[in-house]
Amino acid sequence: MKNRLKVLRAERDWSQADLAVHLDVSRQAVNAIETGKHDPSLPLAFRIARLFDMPIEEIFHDEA
Amino acid sequence: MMKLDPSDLDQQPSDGAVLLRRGLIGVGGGLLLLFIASLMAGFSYAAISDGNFGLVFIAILAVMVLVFAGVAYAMWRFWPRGHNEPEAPRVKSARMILIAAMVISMPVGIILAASDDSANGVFSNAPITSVIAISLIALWLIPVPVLTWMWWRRVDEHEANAYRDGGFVAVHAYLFLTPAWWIASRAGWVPAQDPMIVFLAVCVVWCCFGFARKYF
Repeated sequence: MKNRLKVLRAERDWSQADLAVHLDVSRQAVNAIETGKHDPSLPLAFRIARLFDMPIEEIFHDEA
Repeated sequence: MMKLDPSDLDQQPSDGAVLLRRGLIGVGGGLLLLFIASLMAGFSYAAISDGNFGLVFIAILAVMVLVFAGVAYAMWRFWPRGHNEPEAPRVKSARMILIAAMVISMPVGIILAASDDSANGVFSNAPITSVIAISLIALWLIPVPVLTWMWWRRVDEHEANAYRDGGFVAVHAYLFLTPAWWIASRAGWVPAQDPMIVFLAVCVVWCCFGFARKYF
């Protein structure tokens, strides 16, 4: 699953560690989500959507 | 403008590479320092016993001290410093719980090592007293499971996945290793199965795979 996490945090001048603190996860988790190695659970996806004040489908895109 | 992010730079090592280098430098350098210190102690003891305190003794000891200092400096110089960045409270508390579990587990190893004089003291199958057995079992079955459960509740989903995947691979390692060893033992090819060796092998597979999934 592709996502716009890297672009969205860049727009806010956040590092991966900054975003990780906002989401209360590890920096490795943010890195894994950004690089597509880990698909976030629905609760975490909703947290990300709330943080960026956007619908989930504008952040995450199904590759199919 | 995007803030400089260490993970975005190709020349920056990954977290896993940093941890591996720390482990290699820490263990390798530590063993080397221990070896040089033992060498110095043995050499000094022999010199004191023989009463040889000449210039040669001082020169050799000085070279040993210099080598010791050189290794210590090299360890400090090449020690990967990491990214020094902010961490989520969940990550900090999970790490503290894990450290607490390891600290509580340490007496188990120390008591087991002290209970047998042989080289494989910790994993020896030699008999131990009831008092030691009850103490060790209580330590292993009461605080450690509570702490590991607390840790499991605190880790984020990425680490939980890495741990779960590592466990899955480890269970399969157990699934294949144990019957194969049992059959080989019955055929007389290998010694009888040692549960602690199987336990260790499963733990190593679990840790290695979980580490790789989390950091690489």
